[in-house]
Amino acid sequence: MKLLTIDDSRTIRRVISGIGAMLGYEVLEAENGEAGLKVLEQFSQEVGLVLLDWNMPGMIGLDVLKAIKADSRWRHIPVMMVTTEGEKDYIVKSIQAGACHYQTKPFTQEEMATRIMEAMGMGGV
Amino acid sequence: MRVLIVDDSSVMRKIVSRGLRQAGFKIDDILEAGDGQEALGVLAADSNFQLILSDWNMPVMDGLNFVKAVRSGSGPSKSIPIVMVTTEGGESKVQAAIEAGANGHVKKPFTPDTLKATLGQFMK
Amino acid sequence: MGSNQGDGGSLEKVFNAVQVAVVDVLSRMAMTEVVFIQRERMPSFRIDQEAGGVVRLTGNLEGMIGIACPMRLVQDVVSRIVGLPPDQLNDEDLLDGIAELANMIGGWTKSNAGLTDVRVSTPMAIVGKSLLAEWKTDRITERFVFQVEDSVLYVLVSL
Repeated sequence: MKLLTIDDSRTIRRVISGIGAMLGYEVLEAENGEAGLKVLEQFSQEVGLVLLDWNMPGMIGLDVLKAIKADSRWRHIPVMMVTTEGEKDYIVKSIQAGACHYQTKPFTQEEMATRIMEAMGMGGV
Repeated sequence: MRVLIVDDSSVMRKIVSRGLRQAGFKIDDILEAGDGQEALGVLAADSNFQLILSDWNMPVMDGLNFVKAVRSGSGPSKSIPIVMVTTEGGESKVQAAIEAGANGHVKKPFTPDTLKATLGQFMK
Repeated sequence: MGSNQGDGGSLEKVFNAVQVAVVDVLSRMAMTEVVFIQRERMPSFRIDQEAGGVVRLTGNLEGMIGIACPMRLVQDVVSRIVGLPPDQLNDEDLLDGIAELANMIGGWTKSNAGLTDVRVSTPMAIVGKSLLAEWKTDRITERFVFQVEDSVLYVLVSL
């Protein structure tokens, strides 16, 4: 099972890749929404979770989320928004558009690892 | 029952602990160690564990050397079951660990269900 | 940019939120201890260290938040964040790292200060020896000085 991080920051992609690897997941990386959707085309059967940045140049996270949820090939894949925007407004918009998890930046390794495990079927404490 | 978790990542130790509890095992106590050497120290003082879960890659003393050290010891901790926690592609390592005296392995990524399936035999 | 509405008290809330954001971002992402040293009024918004990152705030509140520090600190912090030794990080990594730090500090400030209808821009970053970047502004520019490990981190806020 693979994870896909879509984030314009390679720093954040690396952090997520490191945490994913620690948990035993292979992590695919895409630096923008368009590239992320291309990765999904190739790996839709293997990706178990998409971690999606909100604020990206080009296609913003919300549009990528909507595109994921609009396509029957991968709308089943859970999406976690990863963003510095922690307000209710953004969270509500994401959930309405089909995101099932939300993690604000900055996060600790433990917070992100726990959130990924929750998204992958391991409940909270 | 009591479990010892050996992993150099404090985050991973917490994730494993949480997974064990969520798998529904009746656990009274979980102790943690950051590498094999530290785990040997824990075992020298307290050998009342029914299971040891050990990571593979750790500084100071890795998982394989830890298994060898426990099995070649003479105290009561010598016979505690040890299960290795490995990532994909670690099959050859698992074989080496089993030959050194490990009792099984849990493959990452794991869920409470896979923990239950692989560890159930040790958790009686 | 228009002038900011509201009294000094509401700006003060943002200045406080920036301080909290700096400590939160560095401690959570990089497990680094940050000590606040002092705060000073500056004549302009100036990045005069080897590395800098800036985000702009637009909307209900307008201004800039920037960080500036020696390269060594960026290397150390980015290395801690991504879990790679400093010698394996290239200029691209450091540029992205400081941009992301500015981005997180900006976003976290917005959340901490409860700023609604404020947009935090995507970040801009500059890295290089003896660089000097200055934005002349009639706004209040406050500089917050932090000690991080054995380096100094400057955080500039112009509102």
